[in-house]
Order: sequence, then structure tokens, then C-alpha cells
Amino acid sequence: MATSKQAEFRNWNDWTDPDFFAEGRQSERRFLPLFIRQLLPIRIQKTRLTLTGWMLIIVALGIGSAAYNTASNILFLTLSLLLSSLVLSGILSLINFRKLRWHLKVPTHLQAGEVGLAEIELKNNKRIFPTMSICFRVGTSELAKESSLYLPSALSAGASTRLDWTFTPQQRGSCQIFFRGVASKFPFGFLNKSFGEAQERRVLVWPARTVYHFSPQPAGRRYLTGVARRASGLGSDLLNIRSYVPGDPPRLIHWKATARVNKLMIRQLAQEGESGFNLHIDPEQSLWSAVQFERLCSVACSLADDLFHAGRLDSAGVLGEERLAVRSMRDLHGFFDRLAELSPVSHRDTTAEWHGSKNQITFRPLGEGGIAIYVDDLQVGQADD
Amino acid sequence: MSMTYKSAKLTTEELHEVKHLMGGALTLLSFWSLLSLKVQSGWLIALAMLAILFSLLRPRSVSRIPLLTWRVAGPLLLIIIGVDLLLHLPDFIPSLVRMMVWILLYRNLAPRRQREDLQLILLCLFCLVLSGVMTVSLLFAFQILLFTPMAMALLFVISLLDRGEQTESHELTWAHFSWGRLTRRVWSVIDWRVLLLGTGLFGFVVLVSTLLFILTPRFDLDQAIPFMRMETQPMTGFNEEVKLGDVSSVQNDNSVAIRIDVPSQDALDVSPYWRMLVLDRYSDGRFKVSDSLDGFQFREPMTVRELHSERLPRDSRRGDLWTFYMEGGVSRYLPVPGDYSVLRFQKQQEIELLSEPRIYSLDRVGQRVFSYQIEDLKFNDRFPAGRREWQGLEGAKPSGELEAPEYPQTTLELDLSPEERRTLSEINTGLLKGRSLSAATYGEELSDLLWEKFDYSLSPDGQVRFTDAENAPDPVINWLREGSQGHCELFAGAFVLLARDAGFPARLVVGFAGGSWNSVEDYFVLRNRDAHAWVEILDPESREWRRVDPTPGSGTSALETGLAGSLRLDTGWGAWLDSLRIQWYRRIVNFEQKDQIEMALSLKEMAKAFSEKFSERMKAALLELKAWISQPFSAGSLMRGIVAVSVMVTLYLIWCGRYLLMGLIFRLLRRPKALDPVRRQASRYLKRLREIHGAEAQLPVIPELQALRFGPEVNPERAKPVFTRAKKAMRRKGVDRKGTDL
Repeated sequence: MATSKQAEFRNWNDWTDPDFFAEGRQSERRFLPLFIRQLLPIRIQKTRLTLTGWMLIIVALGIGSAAYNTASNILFLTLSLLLSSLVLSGILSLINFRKLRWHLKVPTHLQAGEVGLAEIELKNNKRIFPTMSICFRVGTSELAKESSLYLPSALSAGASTRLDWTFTPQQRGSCQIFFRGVASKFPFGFLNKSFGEAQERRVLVWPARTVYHFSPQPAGRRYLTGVARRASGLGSDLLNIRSYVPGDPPRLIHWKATARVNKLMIRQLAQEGESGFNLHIDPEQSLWSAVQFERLCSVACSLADDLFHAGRLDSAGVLGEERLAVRSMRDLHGFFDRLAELSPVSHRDTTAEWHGSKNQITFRPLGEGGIAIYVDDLQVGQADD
Repeated sequence: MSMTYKSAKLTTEELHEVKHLMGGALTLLSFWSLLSLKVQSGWLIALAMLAILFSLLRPRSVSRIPLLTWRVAGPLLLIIIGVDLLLHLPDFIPSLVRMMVWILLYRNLAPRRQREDLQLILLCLFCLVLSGVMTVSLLFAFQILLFTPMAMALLFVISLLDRGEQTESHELTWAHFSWGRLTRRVWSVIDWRVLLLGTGLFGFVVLVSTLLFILTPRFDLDQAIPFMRMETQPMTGFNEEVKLGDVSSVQNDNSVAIRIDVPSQDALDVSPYWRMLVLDRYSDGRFKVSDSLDGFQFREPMTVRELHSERLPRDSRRGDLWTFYMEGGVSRYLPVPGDYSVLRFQKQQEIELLSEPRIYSLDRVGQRVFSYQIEDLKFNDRFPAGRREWQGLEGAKPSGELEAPEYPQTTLELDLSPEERRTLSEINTGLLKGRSLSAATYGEELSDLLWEKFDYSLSPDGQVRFTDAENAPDPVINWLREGSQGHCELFAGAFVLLARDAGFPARLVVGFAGGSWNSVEDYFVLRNRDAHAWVEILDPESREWRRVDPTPGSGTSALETGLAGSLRLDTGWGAWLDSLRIQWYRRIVNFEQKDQIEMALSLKEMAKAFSEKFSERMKAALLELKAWISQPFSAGSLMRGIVAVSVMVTLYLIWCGRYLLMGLIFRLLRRPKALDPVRRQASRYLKRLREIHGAEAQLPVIPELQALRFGPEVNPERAKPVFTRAKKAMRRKGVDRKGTDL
């Protein structure tokens, strides 16, 4: 985490910033820090010659040499035109970058094997000039190579747009999504200027969905009918009206409440009838091979998801840690986040076993790569290789 | 123009089409520039231009050519180009031009990606620069100014299309192409702001390039390498061999041969003769430079930048500069009318000097304009004979054909049959009548005789039909016998032969006579029609070669008198257009370090003068202020002081509120309705009614006021009754929200 001083430092303007002369942007007024900042700018504008640029340089050198050798003013005239086009290119390129704001937006969560979408919000705050030919170098920590994200057409003055790219994370865990600043060869392609510092976001990748079989015994006994449980589920009695959380089924939207408060509201129904399950995972290293452990996480994730949506998940957790009551999507996502970062542990503390809860779902290895699902020490399902 | 600028954008396919068509236009421009080079490949360039035009009009047809064709065409072209180069070595420039044409044609017609587009731009630039350097013509300035924005626009489109692999792999199909459709699409995208901005940017480029051109330091590299000079044939009439009629044939051409920057119009001679070449031998209708004159004895080759002469007395040297701009293809001989102090070239120049006949010659006839400068030029009508000339002519007599013709004996040579010599002798006998005349008198009387007997005409009579046939009569003699009109060469040729027969050494001189004055830019112009031939006859008494012009109407043959100048005045569009060229030569072609220094010095002088004037004015103002402050106060001075302070305060307030002011002006321009007094008044009444009766008051007058405020413009007369009712409503205080009276 950057310190406050570093954060402050990063906000200072330096001479490579196209908005260096924009009023109100420079908050630092002391001379010495400003001076140092100009010497060692962070927002370094990297400029590389493209093929066109190299050609221009070589042609200009050739014409310049010929001009001095022959004292021909025709060649001096041509050289002057070439150099002035370079000057114009620099000015237009500077204008192109001016008052351009961008922001990386990443999904709140990802799931392994499923397509994720990241966006760059781009806004052109200029009043007159459009911005053109912008390119972002984007990538994720999983991909070996960065890819380029191009602005498809000119961004008019005052307009904003979103550039999105999709990627598919393959493994659960922490995924860095980044872009390395903006580049452009505008206007004539002589120079490839890249500007701005990189932005990076960390997103947790949940375990992939997997196929499993789960047939719990009806000894998940029915309660007496008509009695609603004070837990949310899929019954018919209204328990609560709460705000919409991404992932909630659309059919539960309470439209009248939504119209009244002007934001999406969800009917939370009471669970009735069937009892819920308490899911926990044992990450003991001696129990699982590497492949099985990954499969375990996937099965636990898939099962917890399905049980929650069926209104039958009371709690979930990892053995040796605090049990997490699952009452909302947020709690469920919290469990998935934990699964994303879960690693096998050895010699876990056995004193922290969960005791006293019924309908405990546990997992045990099955064969070489399979996972067996147990409810109260009775196998009720499995996930094969 | 489009009103939907924000939404109209060209698709990728359309951008590719625009890019391809712009490449074609650029190629046509470069072919146009190559046409200026006279390299006998005009037919190839014309064909190539036709091919490009076809590809622009019917690009779909060209795109259907199979790829294999281009793959095969490449190596085939290399072979053709290689063979052409080998066959024409060492003169490789025409082959180079043909190579450029082939490559450009190939590159334009074959499918192109980004790399090939850049190659195309480079090739076009090379063609333009090649043509510009070779010809140094004003047309190059126009072409490069056309090329610059077109190339920038093409690079811009290429940059827009650069979206990585997505556009690299795009294949241009021309499926929906038509010129009308594309033009409409481009028209819908272009906005007046884009055009204005583009024009502004182009102006900026021209301004910056002008500054760079002026400020780029020039170094005097005396060892400059001569760069790709193309030789061409000189115009007939200014060669080492001049056939009768050669000079006159040039006189049919009205194009400019030489432009001269003169110190002033008064510095010109009354009848200026621009002497270029002396021809001493005559035979069968041909005047030529003898081998001995052309040989090492008289010829001094040298490589110089400046040539100093001691012939001009020091007291008559004032530093007046005459700058000559001789168009390409005129001659290798430089017109030098008389004595001078310095002859100066732009850089080290290889010249050949024939010092005694005073002929200055370059090593070749260039295709481009050649400029040189003469300091303190004097127009001579007589030239002292050189030491070797006098030694060779002392005591010499007219002779027949010389076996070993040596200059200056060739100036007395008469290669004629005895019968022809008799003709000359008869004429001379009739003229001299036994008298012994001086060269001056002889020249006058002979000229008068010729004028009496013959008229001037560019279509002479008395000409011999087959001059090359054996025993053909000499054309000049034949003309003397049978002719009645002739051109300057016949008059001068006849004079030379008669003078030699009379014992006076004489030689033909070719060059220009007269000229015209361009009043637009104040310079002197010599056109090809001013080409002329006259005579120089040796006066043994003064040991000088004296100029005699025996052609009637061309000036004077009287050596001691001068008639009114035969200078014409150039005015009108033609003169204005020609003045552009001299400006091109002065300010661009001949711009050098000396000019930079002069410009810098004059800028410095201007800045100094300005600052001195400014500081004087400030001092004067300060003194006045001090005087005003120190004088006793009066009502008048107090008023003046108050006014001055008020003005300053007002200006300060305007400065502080300048953005407000600009915003107001902007609003005025955008929404003049905001200033409508009816609306303003309605707005005031609405606001007041709301304050008195509340925001939700439902008075009948409120909708009427709102209509006046927001609705269409209304005449103040029609608004009056509404305002009257509004005033009444304002007076009715205590009205509740529902509008009922309490």
C-alpha cells in the first residue's frame, strides 16, 4: 500500500504531463519539490521512433547532408518542410493527449474458466479537439503477452467511451489486471508516444464450476408446515425487503418498493420446510493431492452456490477458521473469496473443529482425483475425475 | 456541410479507399514534377500518368489483377531497370528518372500495406526533390507546397488505420466503391471546423518552415561537391558555331532568357548590348570560333568563386551589384557587357576565360538557372585589343583561306572564291572612292550603305538554296548581290566580310541587345527575341575593338552617339507572373549566409531603432507626467486626473471581469434573444410575483408572462397590456396561494 507521502507525490504534475499548464492542476507550490519533480518525472512520456519516424530521420539527414554539400537552397527548403512537419506532429500529439482521463474498471470477482470483462473508461475533457488513435497496453498476470486495446474511432470533445476486453482466467487465486498507460502514434505515425503510469487492480478468481452429484437424504427433515424459519430461503412468506445485490434473481425484485425508493429492492422470503446445510472444508495437506485440492475447491464452490440459491445453505467455512454464516450473497461471495485463496495447510489445529451443527457437509478424497461429499458422515454425493 | 458531424465517421473500408486514392494523387504529382526534366522520357511518364488515372477512375479493375502478376512484375522490372542503367552509363540521370517512373507505377498499382504506403510517399518525395534540384524552377515551390499537405493527410489516414493486426489483415475489395458515394461520405464527415483547422495547420507548417529555412546556418563550403548536374543543348545562336539564321530563329521565341537585378534603371546603358561570344572564322555561311582561339593560348580554365579585374579604374568603383539569372539551356557563355571590378559566383565554379576577346564560359550548358553577380559593371562599346591580338594583327593584310588559321589572323580571313572577293572589292571601292578612312568612319559609311540598300526582315531574300552543294555561292555574297532584306546575321556577316576586304580586322559577336524593364519587381528582362548579332572592328589608331551594329532599327551604328534607349516596359499579368520567378530566385534559390547576416543585422537595427524610439517616448511621457504633477492644481487638471484614474479603474475592472465579459459576448452571439427587453421585463415581473404571492400562486397573468418570457418574440406594444395586468397583480398584496382575495 502506498504511503500518504507517495500518494501525494504521485499527484504532482511534471513537465511530461500534457496538462502541465492547465490551471488548477498543480497543488504543489514549494520550489524545491517541484524542481526535483521536474528532474525525475514519474509520468515519463516515452517516445519511440516508428518505422515512419526512422525514415523521416534518415531522409532528413540525407537531405541535410546533400544541402550542405551542394549549398542548394532547394534542399534546405525541403529540409525545413520536413522538420516543420515534425514540429507540427509534436504539437498535435500533445493536444491529442491533453485533458484525457482514463480509469480502469475491473469486475468485482471472476471465476476460473469463465469469461471476465474489464473496462477502461475514457473521457475526453477537451472542449474543441477530439482524441484519436489511442491505444492501451492491457493484460492480466495470467497471460504471458500484453495485448493492445485500440480506440475504435475518434472520441469527440466532451465525450466518453468504454473500451472493454475479455479474458478467461484459468486458475483460481489472485489475478492482477493492469494497463500500462496510453500510447498513440497520432497524427502522422512518426513517433509512438506512451504516457501515464500503469494502473493495476487485484481481483480474486473463484474456483471453476464443476459437475458433481449431490443427493442428500430426506433426513434433512421437514419441519412442521406453516412455520416459517427466520432465515431467508425460497418459501412464500415475506421475510424482509432489502436492497438488490448483484446475483439476486430478478423474479424477486419488489417493483412497488423499487418505484417508491427509486432503487432496486428485493423480496427476501423466509425459508420453510427443509433445513439448511453447513458446509466446511478440511484443507489438511496430507489428505489431498494438488489436483484433488483444486477439485475440492471447485466442488465446494459449486455446491455452496447451488445450495445458497436453493435457500439451503446456513453456513460455510474452512476447518480451523471461524465459521461464516451465509445469509446473503455478500456472505457467499466472502466464502468464495476465501476459497480463491485457500491453500493446503499441514498439521492444522484440531481444536477448532466445528461441533454441534447438524447437516454438516464435508468432503473426502475419492480415488485418485475424485471428491466424495458427505453429510453427517454419510456419503451423499461425489465429483468424479 | 454536415450537421451531424459528431456521428458521421468513415468506415475502415472507406478509409482504405481514401488512402489508396490519395496515394494515386501523390503519384500523379510526382510524375508532373518529372515532366520538367527534359530527359527524353516524356512518353513513358505520360503513359504512366494515364495508367494511374485509370487506376483512380476504375480501381476495381486494377484490384482484380492477380497477385501472381505483381510477384512476377517485380523481378522483371528489376531486370529492365538494370539493363537500362547499364546501357546508358555514365549518363545515368535519364535512366534514374525512368527507374523512378517504373517503381512508382508498380508501387501504386500493386496492393499496398502500411510499409508500401510509406515507400510510395518516399518515392514521390524523391521525384519532387530531384526535379527541384535539377531545374530550380518556381514550379517546384508550387509542387512541394501541394505535396506537403497531401503527404501529411495520407500519413494521417495511415495512422488512423493503424490498429494492429485488425487493420493489417484488411483486404480492400472496392466492392461498393464509386466516386460519387465516397465523395458524399467524405463530405458528410468533413466539417467547416476541420477545414479551417487544416488550413490553419498548413499555414503554421509554412510559417515554421520559412523560419527554419531562414535560420538554418549556411556554411561556405568552398569544396562543395557538384551535385547531379544535367547537361542540355544550348540554344542555337549561342554556340561555337553559328549558321546564318540561327540567331534569328531564336528571335521567334518570347520566353525569358536572362533576368537581371540592376542597381537602378539609370545604371542601364541607353542601348545595352549583352555581349556573350565572339566568332572569328567564316566559311560557307557559318561563323565559328577558331580552334586557335579555343585553344590553350587564349583559354584559361580555372575554378574560382570570385574573379577580380583591374580594368575598371578604382575611382569609378561604387560597389553596385548586378545579379544575373540565366535560364537553363540558353548558353554556356555568360553575358558580360564590359568592364567590372568583381565577377562573383554562388560557389566555386569551373569556368574558362578567354581573356583577350573577353569571353566567359562555363564548362557545360546546365538545365537549371545559373546565377552570377558582377560588381561595378560598365557598358563598353570598345575593348582594347590584347597584347597577343595586337601582335598578331600588326601589319596583317586580308587573306584568303588560311591553311593554319591562327587567331587573330582569322579576323582578316576571307575564305571566298576570287569572284566573290571581287564583289566585295567592288562594294568597297564604291564606298571608299579612293579615300583612306578610319575604322570609325568606315563603319558608319558602310552601315549607312547597308541600310540604304537593304531592309530588316526575319525572312531574308537572296538566299542560296543548297549551301552544301559543291560550287554553291556564298550565301552572304549572294545576298549582297541579289537580296533586298535580311536579318541581323546577314547584315553583320556582310559587314564583317566587307570590313575584312577593306583591311579592317572584324569579328562577329552574338548576344542580346536591348531588353525590357519589369516594373512590378524592378528588374531587367532579356528574352530570346532580344538575341542579336553585331560586329567588332579593330581600330588600328586606338588599338581598340569597336562595336558596330549594322542592322537597321536595332540601335545605332554611330560609335560616338547614342539614340534613345530601345527598352520596353513589361506590365500586366505577364510581368506579375514573371516577377514571382525573380522573387523565387532572389529569396530562395540565392539565399545564402550573407543574406542571413544581412537579415539578422537589419532585424537588430530595427529592434534597436524601436527600443530607442520607445524609450524616448517613455521618457517624454514621464517628463510630461512629472510636469503635470508638479504644477499647481486647477479645476481642469483635477478633472483630467479624475478622468485618467476612472479610465484606469475601468480598464482594471474590465480585465478582472474579462471572462464574464467574454461569456456575455458569447451569450450575445449565441442567444441574442436573451437581450430582448420584453423577455427581460417579463422575467422581472414573474420573479416579483413569485416573491409576493408565492411560488405556487395561480394568477391568470402568470401564464401570459411566461408566454412572453419563453415563447416567440412579441412586439412591445402587444406586451404592454400584459405588463399592466402584472403590475395590478403585484399591487394586490395578501392574495392567497389559490388566487382568491382575502
